[in-house]
Amino acid sequence: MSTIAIVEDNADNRLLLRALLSDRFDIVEYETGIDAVDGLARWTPDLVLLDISLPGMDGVEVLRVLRGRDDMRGVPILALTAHAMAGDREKYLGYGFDDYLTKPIIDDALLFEAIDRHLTGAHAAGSARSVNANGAG
Amino acid sequence: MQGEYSAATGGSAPGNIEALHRLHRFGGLSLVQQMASLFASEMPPRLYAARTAAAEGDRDTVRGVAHALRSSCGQIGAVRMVTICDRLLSDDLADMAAETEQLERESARFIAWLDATLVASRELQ
Repeated sequence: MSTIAIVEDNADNRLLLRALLSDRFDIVEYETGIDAVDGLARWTPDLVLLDISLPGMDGVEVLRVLRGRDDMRGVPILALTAHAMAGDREKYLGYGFDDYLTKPIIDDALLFEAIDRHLTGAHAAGSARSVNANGAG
Repeated sequence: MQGEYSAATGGSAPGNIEALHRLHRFGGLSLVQQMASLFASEMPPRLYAARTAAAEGDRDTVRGVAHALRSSCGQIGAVRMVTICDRLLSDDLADMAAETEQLERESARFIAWLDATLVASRELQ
């Protein structure tokens, strides 16, 4: 089972995401960006759902720290944000997020589709890297 | 089982019944009840933070509270509160203190509506 790290300061959003995802994925939750950076220094998730508006260290800062780690470079990091503005999607994809999801979550199918697509892509890329590292392919 | 939620008040209700149906579909009655309980318990400190910041003219803090609240309100169907949060987040905000007071009043109305709706729904089930 893939493991998803959820970085979200709102308890109700964490509760909802856990309810939606925990049947299909192992879930590890972080309430702040600093907690996430500290916690994710000790392990590598398969995918990260990262809120943009976090107290202290915001989601973009967390993204930069995580992307600076070799083991996290191939891990999909999906932005979660409320109060989406025109142009936000392009802005956050430009920062290096792999995808951009808005809150509130209205359509769970969109959430699952994005997670599945990025997990599949990450696993395929990981397999290709392994093959290349072994001198084949 | 699909949830059956019946709005406790009429067309001018402070909440959107469809949001409760959606939460029920996501996680059943248990999730609806947990979300409602969490929303109500988290509201006093959030409103206090907004009220205090508004009194001090601290626009950034008010915006931060409104941003977080908007997401929670949207998820649980507090549609009027979402509208007030949008005004608090707007660059054209005219009266921060008045809007935060309105947010408090609307919060009380929504939580009362939510409680009554959940009680009525339990009676239907």
